[in-house]
Amino acid sequence: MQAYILRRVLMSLLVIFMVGVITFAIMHIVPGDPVAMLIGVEGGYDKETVDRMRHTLGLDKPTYRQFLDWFGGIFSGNLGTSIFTGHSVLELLGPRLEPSISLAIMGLTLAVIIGVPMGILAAWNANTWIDRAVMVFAVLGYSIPGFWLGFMFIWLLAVKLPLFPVMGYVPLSQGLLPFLRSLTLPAVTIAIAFIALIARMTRSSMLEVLREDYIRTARAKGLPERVIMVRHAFRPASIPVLTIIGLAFALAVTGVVVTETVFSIPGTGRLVVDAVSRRDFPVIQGVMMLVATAYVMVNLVVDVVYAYLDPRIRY
Amino acid sequence: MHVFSRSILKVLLSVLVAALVLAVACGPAATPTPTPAPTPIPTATPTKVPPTPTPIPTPTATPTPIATATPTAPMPEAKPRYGGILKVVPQGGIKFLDPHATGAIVTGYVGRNVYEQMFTLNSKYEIRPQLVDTWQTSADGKTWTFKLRAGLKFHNGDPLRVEDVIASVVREASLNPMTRGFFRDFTAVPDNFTAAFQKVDDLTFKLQLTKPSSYLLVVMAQPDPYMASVMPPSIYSIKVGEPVKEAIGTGPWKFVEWVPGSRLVLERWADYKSRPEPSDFLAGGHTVYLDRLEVVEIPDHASRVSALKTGEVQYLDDFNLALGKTLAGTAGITVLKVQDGHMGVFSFNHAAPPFNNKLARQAVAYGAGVERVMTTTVGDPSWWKECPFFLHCGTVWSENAMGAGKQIQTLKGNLPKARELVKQAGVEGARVRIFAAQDMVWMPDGALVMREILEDIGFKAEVVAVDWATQVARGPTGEGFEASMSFTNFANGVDPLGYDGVVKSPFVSGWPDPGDKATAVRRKFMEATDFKQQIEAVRQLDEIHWDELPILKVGMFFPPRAYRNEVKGIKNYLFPLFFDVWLER
Repeated sequence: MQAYILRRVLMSLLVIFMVGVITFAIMHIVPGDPVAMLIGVEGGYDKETVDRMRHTLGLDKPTYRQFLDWFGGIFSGNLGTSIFTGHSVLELLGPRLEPSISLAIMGLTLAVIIGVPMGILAAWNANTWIDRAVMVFAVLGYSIPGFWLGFMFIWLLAVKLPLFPVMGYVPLSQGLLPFLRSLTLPAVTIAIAFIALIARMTRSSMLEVLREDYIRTARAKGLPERVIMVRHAFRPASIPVLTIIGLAFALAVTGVVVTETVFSIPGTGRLVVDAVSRRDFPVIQGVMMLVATAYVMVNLVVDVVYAYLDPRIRY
Repeated sequence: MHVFSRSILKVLLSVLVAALVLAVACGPAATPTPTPAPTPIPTATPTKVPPTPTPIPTPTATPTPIATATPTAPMPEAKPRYGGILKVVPQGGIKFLDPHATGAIVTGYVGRNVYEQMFTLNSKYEIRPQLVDTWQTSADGKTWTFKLRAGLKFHNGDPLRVEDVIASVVREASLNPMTRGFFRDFTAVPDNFTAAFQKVDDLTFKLQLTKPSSYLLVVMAQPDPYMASVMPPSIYSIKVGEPVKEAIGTGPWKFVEWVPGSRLVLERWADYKSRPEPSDFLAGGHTVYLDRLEVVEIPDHASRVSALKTGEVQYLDDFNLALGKTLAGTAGITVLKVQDGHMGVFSFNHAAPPFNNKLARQAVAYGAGVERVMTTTVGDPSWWKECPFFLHCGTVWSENAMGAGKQIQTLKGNLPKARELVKQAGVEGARVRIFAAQDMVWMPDGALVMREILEDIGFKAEVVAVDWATQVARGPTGEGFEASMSFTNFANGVDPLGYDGVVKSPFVSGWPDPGDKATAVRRKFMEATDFKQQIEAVRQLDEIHWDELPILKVGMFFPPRAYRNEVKGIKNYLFPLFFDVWLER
């Protein structure tokens, strides 16, 4: 067991190291110069100034040296410092996580509350008009671009009917109602796509389970259809749905940059995109490392715990 | 089945990790910024009326009024009132707080509001004192004596000292190529600018030049790019290139907080010591009526417009032109055309064929009819104008020195002449890749119409979609493109030496300045001591521009600004200013 854990830990460290190498390499291979972006083109490209700034920022060092400096810093808890703002990656990421995670939780809660019953309903009424209507909604929901949907919500529910704000994020600490108001439109926007995804996944998973022998047995026993659906079919069918929800949550935290842009929510997606657009290397590298490490650690813990629970598991 | 259990475990752990991170993230960072308690109404401190300024041989005045298109003055019955929060959306995100170190125009929200300079500009772009009370030059024009206004303080309470002014000017000069060039040419110790300054007393200092020049005050009054902002030691001692996290100046607005990617917050500084003269653009005395100014970043332009309509923000600076036109006529909103607007720029890669050939560059200038370019990219003629000049039109320079370009750049363009020049240059069918930053406004449209024009005159042209960072980085290397599309703002047209074709901006990609022709004329301009000499130098620079075409300027267009009508006192200046502005309710 100890050997297994040690092997898994070493593998995880290797994966994190490779993520660091690849992220660093990509950022230094693609064209772009943070110093040129910092000076701004209106000031002209003055080589003397550029060289001085490069020296101050350590960008004139050999690439391998820059990598070692950065990667070495990670072990002392320093993920890097923004070239532009002077804030550490953690300082920048901290305030961005709250809106992103809040948006993800609210969006996914909506998606689960609506998507799962829709999927069950479709499976229950497979090949009827209800099933088709749900599937049409699912296809549409997944196909409509998020930015278009966002603009439509803004136009209708913020400009024409001023029920919600157009932009911005109000932290929970400033009151529940303002918090919910600021997140409703973006949450509904991301929820639409996730509802579609969850409904489709629930339907197909339910249909698979409904073909199982024990479901036929339950029907033969005369159990009510509602009980069969909810208690006997949905529970096993919900496992792949849960997996999708987990993935969707990760995506919603880091990958809804379009929604964050349309609704001007200062989340993690925009942090990364802004950093990429001005080639703020330390921020991009730091955030990527943090996200990758979180994923790797979750997998490591799951693998170790599962190996502990089930002695047959040996990878 | 165990795979499903494992998935559940992963999901649960993911949610647990997320919840922990959320708990951490919701800590101190989520603390709301309290609305400041109402501050007492500041009264303008009477200051000594400065004596008649000693001769400043820099007639940078423009005889034309700035904005005429849209009525912007407050209603006669409107009476300024104190209080309120104004939310403003800048043209782009504020990336850097150091006005010495960047030419990014949005840093001006800090530079023009929090900081002050020794000199500044009025609405006619005439140089006027700001921190300086009086100044004089010696009879030989080499020794300048400056006396600062008494009793000025930084926002941290420290008094403004002569040492701060000298250190700030020297720091800015070490970063700004124009100021640095001036100090190297006109002071005795080119590697130690500080040696040229001498403190006389707590308010007075001298600057010793090696030869007379009127250009000194121009660099000290530079409004953008780069600003000679005067800072306290805690800011100016920050190493060049290192990021600055706060701003401490002597200006009317005090820095409160900057959340990168989200907002910059300033508040009225109650101890601001205003100049006694009437407010005139950046010059003169200013009154801040608002309690607070929030510069809010909204990346999407359509969302900006919606936020303005709902009143969540009250002012939009330089946003999408098409949206600006649709917003015009909306009840409760005023749309401004910024007359001192942008100039479209088609830049050549001088390091590679075909545009290392002067005739090929001239062919493009003849072919690119301003009407075709601007109608396609901007539309309505009231939003653009032709400007066959190497600087922006609307300054004393264009009024007095324009001429050389009139025969080359015309409204309709001269396609036969352009084709003939392409043949003469021997570059018919040459491949031209035009870089167009897709994350910027105007540039993608400009590149498309220039591609058509190049095809029409005999090139084989294509548009290469890149992002702005790539375009900026590739410019100096000259790799992967033959031309690029961009635009430049009006501030570059105020100082003829700020002309981006000569200072070798990234877009120029190393225009070689054959025989140092332009360099010699630039020096002549710096050494000029009267207006006539200056105008002659500018005229010569314009001639060199149209002969060599380091870059091609394809016409001026007017970016829109918009504000809600409860905001009063807005003027249609080159930069958005929020002094002397108040909220009706």
